[in-house]
Amino acid sequence: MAQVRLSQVRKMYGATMAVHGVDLVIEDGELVVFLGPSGCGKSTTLRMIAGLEAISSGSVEIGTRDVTKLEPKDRNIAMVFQNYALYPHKTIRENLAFGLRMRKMSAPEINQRVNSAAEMLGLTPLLGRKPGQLSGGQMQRVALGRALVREPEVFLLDEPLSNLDAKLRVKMREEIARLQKKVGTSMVYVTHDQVEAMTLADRIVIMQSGHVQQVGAPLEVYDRPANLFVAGFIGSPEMNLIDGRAEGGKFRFNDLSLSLPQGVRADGTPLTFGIRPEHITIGDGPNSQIFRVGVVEQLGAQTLCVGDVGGCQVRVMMDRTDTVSSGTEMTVSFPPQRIHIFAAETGERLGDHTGSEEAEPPRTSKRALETSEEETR
Amino acid sequence: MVRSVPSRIALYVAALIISIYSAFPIYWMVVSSTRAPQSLLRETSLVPGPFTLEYYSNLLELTDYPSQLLNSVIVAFSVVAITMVFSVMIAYAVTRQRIRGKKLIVGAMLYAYMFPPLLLAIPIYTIFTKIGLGDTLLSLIVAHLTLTLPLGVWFLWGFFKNMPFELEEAAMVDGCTRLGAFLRIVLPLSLPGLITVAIFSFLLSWTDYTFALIMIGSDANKTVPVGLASMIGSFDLRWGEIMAGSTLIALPLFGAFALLSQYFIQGMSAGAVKG
Ligand SMILES: Nc1ncnc2c1ncn2[C@@H]1O[C@H](COP(=O)(O)OP(=O)(O)O)[C@@H](O)[C@H]1O
Ligand SMILES: [Mg+2]
Repeated sequence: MAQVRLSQVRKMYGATMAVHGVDLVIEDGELVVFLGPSGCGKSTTLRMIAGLEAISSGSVEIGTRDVTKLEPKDRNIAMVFQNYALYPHKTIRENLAFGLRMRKMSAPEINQRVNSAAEMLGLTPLLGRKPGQLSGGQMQRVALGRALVREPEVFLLDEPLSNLDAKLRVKMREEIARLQKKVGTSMVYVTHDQVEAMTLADRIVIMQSGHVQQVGAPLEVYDRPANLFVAGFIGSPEMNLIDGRAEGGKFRFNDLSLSLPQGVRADGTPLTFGIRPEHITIGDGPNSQIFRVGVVEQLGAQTLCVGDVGGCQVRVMMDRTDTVSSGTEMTVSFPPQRIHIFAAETGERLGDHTGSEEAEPPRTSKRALETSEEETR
Repeated sequence: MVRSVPSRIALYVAALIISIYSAFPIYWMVVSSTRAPQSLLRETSLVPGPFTLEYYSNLLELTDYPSQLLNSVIVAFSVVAITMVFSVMIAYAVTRQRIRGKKLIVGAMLYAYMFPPLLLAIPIYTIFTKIGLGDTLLSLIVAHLTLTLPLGVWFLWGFFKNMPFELEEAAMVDGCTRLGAFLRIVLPLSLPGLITVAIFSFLLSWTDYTFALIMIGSDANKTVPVGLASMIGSFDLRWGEIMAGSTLIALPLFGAFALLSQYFIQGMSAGAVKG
């Protein structure tokens, strides 16, 4: 168990930079998720921590050791690959034991560790089989087991669940969270799936085109996205984003005129106004407007309406309503504390209001969010 | 697949005809090599006998056959060993290292196959005599390598290409060096490919006539196929001895195929076709 410290870690492929100077400290026992669209440099960063990819500049420390120039085998990390990468010619038992045998551990200790990991993951009946005789979910467990038996300082997982079907994915996600809490080893988990990131992470590192966009607890990045990219990427359905300008303390676009949150002072500059579909309230209130429904999507517990407010397309998420249909008009309001304002040119967030109804951004109430995230899927 | 009875019968009949067609010459060779001289040319019976080992003892005691056999063994085993080592290294390098124009390298190696062996053999022979290696086993080994190496590289290239690199990475994370990962993971998984390449290069070298005929002049350095051919017509036509010599050439091939055929079939279908 150890802290992992990345300092100005860069990766160049020829002349193109795939990862631009990442600075990050992963605390002992912390589960950090790298989240971002495909090709943003998540895997490259993870593989630089593993030592599978040479670091172009910067340094990586694990615990107190500078491992920047070490081989993967000397870094004391364990990795789970997207396609499992089980050794096809070895039995499950040999797959689990391989890393321990390479480290010259005694046979009784290898047996003991393999058996207890197999027990923990329910693999005991499969130990004699070859990987070709397992289902996807079972192979995934073996891959986890192979990392687990090693008792490394850090776990590195690269999209470990993306080859599983949706139901199994949720189950394995919970299992990974449980195992990580139980063994208490730091973990870096790469995914492009924001639900996985929100539910698993102690902290999320959001990346785009090789740049870290924001680092924060799941609810922090949800409540206070640092820029337009994060605002659009986190949350499902996507945040409503409207381009307009500030005039006399108001946000204006076409016929729309909405009051800016406290603390945002920007007159005459182009702004982007953001509010999440689930934060628009039905009925009279601050900033109330007429909403004309265009398309209705029934999601079960909730109803998502796509329509028009003052000439802008807006998505509104409401509790289940059976009576709305295309053409329905209703009054909606935009609570000021739920509004996000971004500078249109830089994409940076303006103002320091919290973006949530809580006074402080909460760090612990992850479970509550998990359920609501599930429902919106 | 479920087949109807008539179509199954047809299939078996076809298989039987093909097997007889390809196995009969071999059977005839073995039978003739053990048939006593007085009946060999007169009683052409399908049943073996009368039995004799006369030809074998003649061949081994009165001719150069034993030393030629030794030459063949030296050449074939050297070719197999060198082919294995180099084709594994080259194939691995072109699949895993980022080498400029690696397609061209592999393609260029196959160009050797565009020419009939004779066309290559004559210039190679000239070069070898110039550098003083004419009429040596070494020259024959090198000549055989011009055919076996490209084949081996091309075949193993397909094998390594299909093997996910993550397997080696997993092994490296698990505590292997790059070389260790290669030896412990890649090589065992490529076993069918390795065996196929070994059999192919052995076959090529062991049965080669063209190169041996051109490269080797002296009786002492002849390999079995050339030595056997020179028996025809040199004194009288000794069918029995020729059949016995041919049987001895074919024997190791039968042995190798019988032991390794399952790997061979695996290798053929995994490496070349899908690669
Ligand atoms: N071997 C390579 N050569 C050149 N470019 C690469 C290589 N590997 C990755 N890249 C580039 O680096 C970027 C980041 O890739 P990666 O880390 O795999 O993204 P992801 O976030 O999807 O895991 C991508 O734009 C990709 O094209
Ligand atoms: Mg990736």
